[in-house]
Amino acid sequence: MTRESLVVEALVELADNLVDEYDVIDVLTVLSRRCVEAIDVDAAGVMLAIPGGELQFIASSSDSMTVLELFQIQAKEGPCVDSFNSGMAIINHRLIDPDQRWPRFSPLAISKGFHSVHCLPMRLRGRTIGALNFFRNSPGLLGDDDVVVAQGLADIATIAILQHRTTLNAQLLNEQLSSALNSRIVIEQAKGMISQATHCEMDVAFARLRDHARNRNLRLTEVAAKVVAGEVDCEDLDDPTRQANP
Amino acid sequence: MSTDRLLAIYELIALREREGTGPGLLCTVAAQITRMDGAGVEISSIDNSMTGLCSSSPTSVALMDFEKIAGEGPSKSANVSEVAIDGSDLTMELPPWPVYTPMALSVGVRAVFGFPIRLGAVRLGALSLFRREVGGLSEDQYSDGYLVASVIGRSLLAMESGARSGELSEELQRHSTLDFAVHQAAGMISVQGAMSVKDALVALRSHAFARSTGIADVAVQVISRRSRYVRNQGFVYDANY
Repeated sequence: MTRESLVVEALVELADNLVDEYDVIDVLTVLSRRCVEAIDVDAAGVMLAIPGGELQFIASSSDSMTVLELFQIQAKEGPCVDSFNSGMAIINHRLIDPDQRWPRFSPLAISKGFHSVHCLPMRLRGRTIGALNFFRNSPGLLGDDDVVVAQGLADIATIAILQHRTTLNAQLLNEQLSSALNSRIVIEQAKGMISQATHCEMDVAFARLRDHARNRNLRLTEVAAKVVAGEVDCEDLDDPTRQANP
Repeated sequence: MSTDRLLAIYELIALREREGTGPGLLCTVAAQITRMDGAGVEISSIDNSMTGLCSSSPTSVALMDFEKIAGEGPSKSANVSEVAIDGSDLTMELPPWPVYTPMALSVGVRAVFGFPIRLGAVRLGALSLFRREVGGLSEDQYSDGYLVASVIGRSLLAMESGARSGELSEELQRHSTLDFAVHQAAGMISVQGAMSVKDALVALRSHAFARSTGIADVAVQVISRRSRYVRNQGFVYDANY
């Protein structure tokens, strides 16, 4: 598929998702996955800042521990923190070990097989609310076209957060950010339960939550909250790895 | 720097701890950081009933009593709705809480605000703030309200797990409860031990205290299945598990 058609497809899917009662984390997960297809990168993720607090992981293209750990470290140091604080993009930053700039982040990213990292700030009305992060595991540079597409997707991510229940004032923006981060915690709690109850990996647990929500037109966070509250049994969630028997 | 306010909260908690401010510490810090006249923290039970935990002033105590008597108010609203509650003008013609409002006005309070305290799907309670003049919160005050509510959430968990008093600020800075591994592990433990996720978080925290290690370290052991929770036994370490 050509780059153009991949981008168009990504935009169409995102637009489909941005209907009235959408789930922020679901939309940002779709966005991260689409980034990996449309841009020449191997992993993508979104980090958001709690107002006045640390940067936190919110959604990624892959739910594997590999990528999540890298996001976790970035609550303290790494390209996302720098990009967030400066409001400037970091493009084609080649990872080195040892690294004085990011002594914890860089060696871990290299050990996970990544070669370079890129980060774009998510900005709104002069305020940076988070950052979009990309990893590449082979040498080579992101082209200008890639950066334009990536920035466009970063802007959509920003809109997805802000448009959620129509954010018009400061109170609501802070509320959206707090609520998005809290939703992520609800999902992690539910993933742990599903993983234990059905003996599956965390990424499969996430896929089950997501499929279950999508098949029933429910919001991802809503299903996760029901799992934690014991209102939905882990065993009863849809299983995307299992084909329905005819 | 984006984490300025968080550090400011930690510093205030550390300062108050050194001064030996008693159980009202968290509320004193909350009122100070948000520049309000007072604050109160209430804990919620499974049925969403609220119990006062701490307060920064006699007026805060009175406000919490009024909420109990009236069965309504900013804490209760914040806890149930899980969003910040704005009661910036109690003198308006149709106030938000018809029974609570006249009581609050009688002790000189003109504006009240409520912030939910939660950790993922776990509702811990609410923080309420008041002031003696009518007026809304600025953007910064809202940010600070959310931030201090999240710090209080982590403090509640630490206190319930047996954190020594006077060591709260150190404890808070050592780990982030937003760490996804902690919440995944809490989910796993809740299934292993047939308990609520909240109790699982407390169990994780307590175990970390007992072993003098971080909650994230215990969480990683659980996720990698080197450790699991057994009912009536606690955490069991098994190389072959």
